[in-house]
Amino acid sequence: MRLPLLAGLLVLSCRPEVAQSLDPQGVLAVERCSSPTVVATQLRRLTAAEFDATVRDVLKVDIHAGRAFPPEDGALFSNLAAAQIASVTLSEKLQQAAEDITAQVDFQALQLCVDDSCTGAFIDTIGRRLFRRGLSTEEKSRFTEFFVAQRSSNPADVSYRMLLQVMLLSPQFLFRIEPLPGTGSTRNAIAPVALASRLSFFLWGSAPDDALLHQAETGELNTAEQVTAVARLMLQDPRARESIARFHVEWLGVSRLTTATRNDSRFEALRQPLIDEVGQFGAYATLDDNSFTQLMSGRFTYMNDVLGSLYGVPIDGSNLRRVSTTQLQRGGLLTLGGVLSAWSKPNESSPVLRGKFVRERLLCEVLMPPPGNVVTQLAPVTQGTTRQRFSAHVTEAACSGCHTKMDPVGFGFEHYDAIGGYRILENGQPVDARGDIYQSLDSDGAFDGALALGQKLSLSQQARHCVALQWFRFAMGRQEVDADACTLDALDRVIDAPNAGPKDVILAIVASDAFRLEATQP
Amino acid sequence: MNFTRRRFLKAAGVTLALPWLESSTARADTTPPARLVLVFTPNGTLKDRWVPTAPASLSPILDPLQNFRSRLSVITNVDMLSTQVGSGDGHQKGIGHLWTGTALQPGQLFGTVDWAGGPSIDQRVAEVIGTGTTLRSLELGVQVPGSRVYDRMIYRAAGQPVPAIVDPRETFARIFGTETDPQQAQLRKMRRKSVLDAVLREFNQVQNTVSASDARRLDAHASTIREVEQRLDRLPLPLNACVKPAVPQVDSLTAGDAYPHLGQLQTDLLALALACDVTHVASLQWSSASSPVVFSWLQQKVDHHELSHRADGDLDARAQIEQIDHWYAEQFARLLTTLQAAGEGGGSLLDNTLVVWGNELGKGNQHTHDSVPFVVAGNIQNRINSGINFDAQHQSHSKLLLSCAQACGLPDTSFGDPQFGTGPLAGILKT
Repeated sequence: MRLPLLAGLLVLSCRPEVAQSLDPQGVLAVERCSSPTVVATQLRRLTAAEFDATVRDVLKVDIHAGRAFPPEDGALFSNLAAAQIASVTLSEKLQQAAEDITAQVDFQALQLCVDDSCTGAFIDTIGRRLFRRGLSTEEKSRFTEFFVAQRSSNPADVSYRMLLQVMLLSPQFLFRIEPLPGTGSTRNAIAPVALASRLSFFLWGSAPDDALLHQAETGELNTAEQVTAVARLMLQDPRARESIARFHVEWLGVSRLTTATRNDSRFEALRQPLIDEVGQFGAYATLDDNSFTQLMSGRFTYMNDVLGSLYGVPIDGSNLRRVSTTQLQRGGLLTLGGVLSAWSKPNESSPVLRGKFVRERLLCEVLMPPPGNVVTQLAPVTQGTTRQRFSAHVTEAACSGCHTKMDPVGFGFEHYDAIGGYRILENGQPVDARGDIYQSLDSDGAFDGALALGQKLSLSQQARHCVALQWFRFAMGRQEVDADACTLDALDRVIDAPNAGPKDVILAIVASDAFRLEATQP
Repeated sequence: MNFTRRRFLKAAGVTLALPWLESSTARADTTPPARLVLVFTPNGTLKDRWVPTAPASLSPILDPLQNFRSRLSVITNVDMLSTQVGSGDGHQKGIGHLWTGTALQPGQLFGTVDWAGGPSIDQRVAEVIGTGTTLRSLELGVQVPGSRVYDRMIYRAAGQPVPAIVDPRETFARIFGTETDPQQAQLRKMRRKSVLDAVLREFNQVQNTVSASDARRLDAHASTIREVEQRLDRLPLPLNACVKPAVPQVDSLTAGDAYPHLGQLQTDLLALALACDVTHVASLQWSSASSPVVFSWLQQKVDHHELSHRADGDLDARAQIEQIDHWYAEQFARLLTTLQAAGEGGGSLLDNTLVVWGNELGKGNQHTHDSVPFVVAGNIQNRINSGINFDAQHQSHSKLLLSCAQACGLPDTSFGDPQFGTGPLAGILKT
């Protein structure tokens, strides 16, 4: 079992005596990097979103078939290879998706000749885009054979659509297969087209386009400098905004709102706007402001009419637009309605879940699960505030170890209800949103309300390094291991630099050996 | 019309309008197949309100099962001993161990925990009794909130959880297929098979070009495609006496108060799938471990998980938990009623089915894995002892699971992690 050992990352037992024996500053100072190592990439399957975006970009069919796939919101990121489970349900949905998509493909609009004489060109052109590389001779002949076999009993149009179905269901499309590097070495350059795919799925959430494949094939992705230059341009593309929005939605746990149940009748109309708001907020703070401080405490957000009514700002129309929040009790990602709602229970706010969210997602701590057979009886309070009911956690000795880390942080969010609305009273009593951080590396101390918590975190190196680490996980499609220490040290230095922001981390990741090279797999 | 049939028709009226079922396999000259059904409800129970007080009676919580008293056994004092090892919090462990008897693997996927370390009992049983049917097994859920460890109880193999279908319309399509035009059906089937054959050839080709660990992942995916393809061979269903009802009506999958309706649809569809002999193995998962469902239709306002954590002395919370568990018992009774209403081989479908009802915890506010409530219903061709309250005396639940597998005809002698016990639970099986 590998556990993260990273600075800015603590694997703590929740027993207070163990936690207190650590000197936070001492942990921060640990130099993790001993020898630079490249870690083998795990085979990734296209996520539902990547599947949809690729189909949209390559085949110009925008039907979001992936939304019917089994949920992918269980783990931190949907693109973590280890979280991608095979299931009959998925294969059944994929087969249906392939039929639905190919039924809608407009060959003319794609400028694809579908005469019997065009089979070779068809396979070359569409194969290259779907498989993100030129096809091998063997592949071409297998697909040609398939077409010919079908053509004997089907019209050409049907045969071409069936061929497309085969391609869409093939592992070369569904999985991000990279040519095996040579044996023995831990630092192999990967095929330039494979690097194009890594860049494209990371920065665009979609397959590389013709131009990017061409750049790869003509030697424009050979050096770290070239990759950085290409990535910089890619980040200006609208597709980047989409991928970076998705990063924030998943990192902040907001994707679960897609299927969540919330008892408040306003929630149904808010569901999708709440998710979109988080994505657009994150994309702006990252791509436009390039500022960790803005991410944690920026006084703006995105609203449409329904979000406006939740936030108390009159807005017309269903399109989200950027709104200043200097006059509102909103600022930074902590007070986004989607974040607050995602870490709530169906019918009420949850200091525990929100505290857990801050510790795990924003401070990158690993909380150990509560020990078994511990009496966890909550006091029988039916009136009063959520805070009063949950105070039992920190007075019970068995619970206090971990709950001391979670609940006092979570209490700071008590001005926001289960769907993210602001409140001054709860059950007729004034809300007390004073919070406290214990046992963090550099943010300990009292605060009052989520805005103040955002201010506090915007100054935290632990939180800053955590953002860098989350980007690393998203980029690599895996959790970090000990051998990533040098890469992660370097990313920490990048985001610690004056005026540096998340965009600099993204660019540093794509230029890193970890991203551009490949180790021989076990 | 007997009482059961009246109840069945009454129940069916509110959901599917199921036809009067006569199992597809109801032929006098053959022995009907054995079936296994697993049912999960969350957050533990109140032992003193759940355990039957006298040999012939049931308990306040299990009272809705009174009609089936002679056809079910209440198993008390079964412990999930395997939860002594492995990762996870109480709820994660509970649902991960419940049907697998194996530890959750250590990992980083969900904090410090990863998926369970072995197949669930239904999947093992399906390897033997599920091979000849359209569906090897059928996994259904009711408002399962996501894809975390808490949300998965069925495992095809170590690290390979099986997602449950949560939309009754999808359940319907899984059972009956989506083909509406018999003229086109054969043509489409041929085309689909051609496509999937070609896809599997691609998987074969690619296997050799990736590392061994990646090849295993590709193989897991390819085997699910093979299953989709095999299913095509078995469609359309030879429905015989089993009549296809109308597609179920669903207004919302996520509204809190949709839970009873969705659950009843899934229950009826599960029974229908067995009656139509679409599958011999099925499961039904209500919500998830640590379920946050608010039972608003029972006039409750606090979510189930929080109620389950209230103190023992909180009489109001106890009353609400009892109400919840009683409601779940009613839903379980509905399933048994429907299975009993389907005639088969001179008896009923329930006579040839083993229905096992379990929970991820014993006592909710202590996260215990001992005295986990289990009910075993249907005497599966007279292979198990019914109508009893069986005290397992704190033996491992994996022994109970093995007993169920043996009742389904499997020759296995151990299930799950063997260090917590091998062999069946003596006294469950008829000798």
